[in-house]
Amino acid sequence: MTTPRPSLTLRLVHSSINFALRFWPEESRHWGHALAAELDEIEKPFEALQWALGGLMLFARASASRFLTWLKLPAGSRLSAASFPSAAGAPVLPKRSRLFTAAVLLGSTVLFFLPQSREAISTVRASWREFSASSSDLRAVENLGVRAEKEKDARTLAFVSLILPDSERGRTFADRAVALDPSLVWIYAGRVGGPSQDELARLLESDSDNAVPELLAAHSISETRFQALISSGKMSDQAVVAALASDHAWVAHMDQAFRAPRYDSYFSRDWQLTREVWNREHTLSPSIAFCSLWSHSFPDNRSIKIYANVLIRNSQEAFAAGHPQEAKNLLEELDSFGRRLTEQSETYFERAMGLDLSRRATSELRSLYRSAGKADETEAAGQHLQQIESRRDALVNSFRDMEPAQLHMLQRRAIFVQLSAVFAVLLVVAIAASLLTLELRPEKKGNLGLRLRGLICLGADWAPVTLLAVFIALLWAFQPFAGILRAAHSAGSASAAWHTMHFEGLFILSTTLGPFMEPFTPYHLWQASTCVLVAFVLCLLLRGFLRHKPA
Amino acid sequence: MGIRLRVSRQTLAILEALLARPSEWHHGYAISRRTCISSGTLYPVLMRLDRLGWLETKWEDSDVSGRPPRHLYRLTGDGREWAREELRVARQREFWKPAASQA
Repeated sequence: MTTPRPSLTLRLVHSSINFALRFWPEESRHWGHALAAELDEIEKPFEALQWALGGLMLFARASASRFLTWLKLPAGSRLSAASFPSAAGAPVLPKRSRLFTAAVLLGSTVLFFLPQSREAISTVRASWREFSASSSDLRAVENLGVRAEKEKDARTLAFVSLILPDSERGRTFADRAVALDPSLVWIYAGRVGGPSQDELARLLESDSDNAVPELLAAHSISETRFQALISSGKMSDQAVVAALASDHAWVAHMDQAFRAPRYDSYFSRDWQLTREVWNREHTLSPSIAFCSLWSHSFPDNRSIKIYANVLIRNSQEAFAAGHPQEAKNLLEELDSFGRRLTEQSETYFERAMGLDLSRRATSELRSLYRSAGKADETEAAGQHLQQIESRRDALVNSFRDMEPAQLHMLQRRAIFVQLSAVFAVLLVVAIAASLLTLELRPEKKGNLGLRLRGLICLGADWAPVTLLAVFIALLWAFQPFAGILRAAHSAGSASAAWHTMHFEGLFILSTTLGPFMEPFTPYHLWQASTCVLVAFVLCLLLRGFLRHKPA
Repeated sequence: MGIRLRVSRQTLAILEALLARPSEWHHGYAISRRTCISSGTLYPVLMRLDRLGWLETKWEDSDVSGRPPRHLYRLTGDGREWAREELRVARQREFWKPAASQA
């Protein structure tokens, strides 16, 4: 007669208790066996299940108790009695318990995950790359694009297309963004590498009263001309001017640009988009915001200068030919464009270019009035010229508006931030190495082993506390830079953001690194490695000589 | 008794079960059935009593071949005295009613 096969529940119950018994802490395992033995006496599957659940709870309590006991011991110590010999052979162990180390490390981890700390760490990391976007930053942006594509978020797609380098992927994101929201067509102008012919056509059509699309169209023609001149080996200033002045399409676009009532290089719209996404996506590196400011395409400075020269030359020719009104109109057209550039643009670069165009136009006008014997107009032009000069001086001086005391404070803090960050990285490595060595490797014999073990114990005792202190110091030192980032996050205009982030301090974090990085330049590393190699070879030779020295 | 512990209702029930036939040995499952206390609560109490020296334990081979030996429990002399005292105090405070009076 065969015994009936136990039910699935009973088999499951027995397997789970047997499994728990395999891992049951040694000191209370006999209680586990006692509980498991009773299981055989229970016939009803549901009761057996309840009994086994109680057993598993007991197992969990015993394991937790053992874990707590283990935590209360220093790193590297074992729970078994063999680890606690009272004689002289006792292993060298850290003074602090695992619990203390874990609590301190937990504190550091909590601090690490605070938004302020994450911002500080990502900013310091970005400063180590001089705020250029790393491949991981770009990957994060691309992932953002993929998510935005799923969510049909046109503005985020537009942001991603503006950040990503000139690539098919960037173009795809741009097309998708414009398809979802046609008012975002301006992103074609702001993209790295400028717009393609199709994109340019759409831009010209959608923003016909703006000078910038016309300037971009002229730029695409001038680029083709420059390439042709370079490949034919006839590149010179005169050749460039002659080639462009004779190109009707280029002249037509420049003429349209200079007559257009608006000048908008979309820099502010670009920044608004960046700010919107940057404020929402807290994990984005500040490098991305910098990238947005840096990578924005501006109209071609060279084409504008060449066309200004063409206008001035045409004006002089008209005046010489006895058409002073036509000459005046041409110069006024140039001055008007310069004023639009100065008043409507967002960047210092464009404003300076606008002031320069106005200065040249006004200077020519003054000469023209003087030649025509118009004293009042000559004097008015002279006064206008002085105003332009003073505006240009004010613009140049606005670059140096940081107080020396504030600059020094930021420099000191930047050094503190960088040293804290580097120290924190070293401490993390030291903690990982010391704890892993203590837990995984038995004590080495010999004096050197003992000394090394002592050093490792010192690291395990002090490195976690030091890391916590360094984190707090880093956060304190980063405060002024956090303020700069806050100001940038709330900066309403692109120029304000540019000014805040670039000229008022954040870059000090990168420039401070210079003296520290000097020993790690390829030249110095090569020098150091050469010295080490030479010393090594000399040691080998000396050793060989001493060994083979005749007695 | 010199030692006073805060004892729960479950502990009192287990003590009462063990005191019912103090000289006899009891199986864990039998105590559990008598007191309606689950194994997850019963064994920690037994472990604590054992640690305090108030519980005697022994292993007994099973009558059925192939089954593991079973663990048996009974209170020690000191344990019995302490248990009686605890139950008396609990009854005085109306914190505890014996199983017979509950029924």
